[in-house]
Amino acid sequence: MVRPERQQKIIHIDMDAFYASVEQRDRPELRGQPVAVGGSRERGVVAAASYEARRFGVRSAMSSISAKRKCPGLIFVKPRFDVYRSVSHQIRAIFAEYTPLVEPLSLDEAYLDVTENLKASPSATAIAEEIRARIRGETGLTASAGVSYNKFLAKIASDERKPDGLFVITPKRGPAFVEGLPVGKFHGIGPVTRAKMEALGIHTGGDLRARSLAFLQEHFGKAGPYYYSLARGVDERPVRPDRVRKSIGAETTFGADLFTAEEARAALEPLIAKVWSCCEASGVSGRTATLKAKYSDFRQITRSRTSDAPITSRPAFEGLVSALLEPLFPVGKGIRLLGVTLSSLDVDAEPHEGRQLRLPLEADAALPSRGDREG
Amino acid sequence: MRALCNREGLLTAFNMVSGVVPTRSPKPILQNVKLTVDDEEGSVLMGTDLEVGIRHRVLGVKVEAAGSAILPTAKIGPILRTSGDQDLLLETTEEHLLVKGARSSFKLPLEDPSLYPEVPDFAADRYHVILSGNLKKLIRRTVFATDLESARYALGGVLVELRPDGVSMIGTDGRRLAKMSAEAQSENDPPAPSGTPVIPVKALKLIERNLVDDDLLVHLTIQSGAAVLVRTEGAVIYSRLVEGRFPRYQDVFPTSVETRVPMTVGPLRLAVEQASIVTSDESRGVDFQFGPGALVLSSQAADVGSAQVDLPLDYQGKPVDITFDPRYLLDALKTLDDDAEITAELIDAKNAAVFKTPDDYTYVVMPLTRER
Repeated sequence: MVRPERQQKIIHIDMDAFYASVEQRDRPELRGQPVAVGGSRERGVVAAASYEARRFGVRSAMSSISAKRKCPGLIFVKPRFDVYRSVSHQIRAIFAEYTPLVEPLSLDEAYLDVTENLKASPSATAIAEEIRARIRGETGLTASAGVSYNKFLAKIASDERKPDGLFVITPKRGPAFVEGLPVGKFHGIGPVTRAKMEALGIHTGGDLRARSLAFLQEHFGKAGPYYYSLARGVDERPVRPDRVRKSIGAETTFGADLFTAEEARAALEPLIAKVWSCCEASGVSGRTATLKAKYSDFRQITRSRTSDAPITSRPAFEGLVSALLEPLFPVGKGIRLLGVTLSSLDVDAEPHEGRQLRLPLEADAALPSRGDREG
Repeated sequence: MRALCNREGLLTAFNMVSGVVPTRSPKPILQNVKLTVDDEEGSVLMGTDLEVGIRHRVLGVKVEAAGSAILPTAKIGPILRTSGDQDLLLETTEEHLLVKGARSSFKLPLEDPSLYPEVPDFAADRYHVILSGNLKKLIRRTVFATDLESARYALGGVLVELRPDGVSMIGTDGRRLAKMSAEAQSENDPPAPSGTPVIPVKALKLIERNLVDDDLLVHLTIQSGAAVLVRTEGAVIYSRLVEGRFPRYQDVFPTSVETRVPMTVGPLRLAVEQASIVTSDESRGVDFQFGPGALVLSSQAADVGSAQVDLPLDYQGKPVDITFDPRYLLDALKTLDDDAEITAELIDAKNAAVFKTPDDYTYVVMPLTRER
């Protein structure tokens, strides 16, 4: 329900370096150390990095090899998604005491609409501080909060004082805040769009605001009106507590177009890792893998494949994706964007019943098989 | 080309051939069929999508001028079906294809027959000879177990194994596996095919449709691991083989079977059908309790209800409980004669169950685990 006449009060809560902080909480010897959660093996990817590791330039979705190169003393820790999930439940239980309007974005991040709230508190800032204190008290972990009058600004605000901080963007300060904000910080503006904007002389929210809607539509197509609103600090998306995930996906636009299957495989690896860790984190499995490719002439294709049984191992997922990728080569035009999505999600696969067992046919990475879950 | 064609004869061939013709294709000529009329060689109707092709004889053709014509599938079908004529005259002129009946005539655009891709004929002199009824069984009892969706392309078809005195077909989707063997003779000692020749489902269905009688001889040859050709009484069917290696399936047959339960197909099928009435998408399993003197099938599903079906057994061994997805059993039971014997070979609730019939059919099914 949109009530434009009424000012919304939105909080964005974001746990600080969530997976890594949980590990440091549970294993004191890791405290103060550069820690990466993820596989250390050759094809591993960093799922999360502690602040100590981030100082070396280690970021999530980075390959484990380049992370190790940036930070030779990096300690790799195997992810324990069941623990992260249970901490996430604790946090959500706290949120639920304040408002039913909670939209979780992932295990460690959520929007709360506290315009009306169960504590009848007039101050969203007070609620945000209380929630941060309770998270710290009940889980021993820190969270950052952003408070503002829409989702876009609340999310930007939570990033302002990270870690363990709180930042408020009031309606009065909103437009001025957006004006000074580098475009790269805008939600939905990635490195490629940013480069394009900078080439057009758009560096900040102020520059963006100075352009007409027609200009933005001409250069950015469908996203034009969205950027136009954001530049004015306007975001009317409601907090949707009933959001059921239909799919889990990730995509990247490349700075330089890709032409070979090897390049494409390498580029897909972090996307697969991201999607897969998201599945593991939320405990869902999917049956349909979809590959999306956009060519340099902006023609876009998608290819998908559905398996009968849920895809339960990363090699099986990779196998499906690479089976979808192979037929695209050789390419006539360069590939500017690749995306991977897992859908036909099954949160609680076959709840009332056992699962269908498979014949002991020899293993094949491309054949999804249950029971060979990666350790 | 000019020929007076018996309409029934042409329609019979057309119905068989038009099934492989693609409705849309990057090569528009493939949306046609090709008719070649010749008194010496016999008249043939051809169709192909380049993967699968068929040459079907056309009976009742009076050839006035031998030659070929490209017939547009979308127009010829309706003409043949709506015409009341016994014979139709097909003729090509400089510019058109003419189809004339007693009170109707059609002028259709003409295409150059030499542009139509070659549909391979059965040229081998070393091949296997199979009774058509046996080939029909081989296909029907295995083709349903394949998996066209699998990322493993080889599971989208049926593996063929040729021996000097027999042939086997094997289909699997990774959860159940069907294997059927039958006698065959070999003509001129055909070489054993290399690799694992897998015939695609589309071709198998086309072959099966062409096996009208059970007691005719059918010739089959695998061409150097790349294609299969089958010659029936009225047609030659060509198909490229499925790419990819078929998995080593021999490992799926359990080695230490402890329990053998003899049953009859018809009553078993009815009992499974009854028990599967009370299942749902969320709760598909049917529990099979094999015990002395009886098999008890039970199922229950939330909001649907529950069912129990008893089937008397000639079995006195130890009890075995196992849960199956009933659809897997019905798929196979539907291809068998109701009065045939079938033996279940069981180990326990977690291992593959094997169903066998005396005519060399083996069906392996993995159970559902019981984690209720």
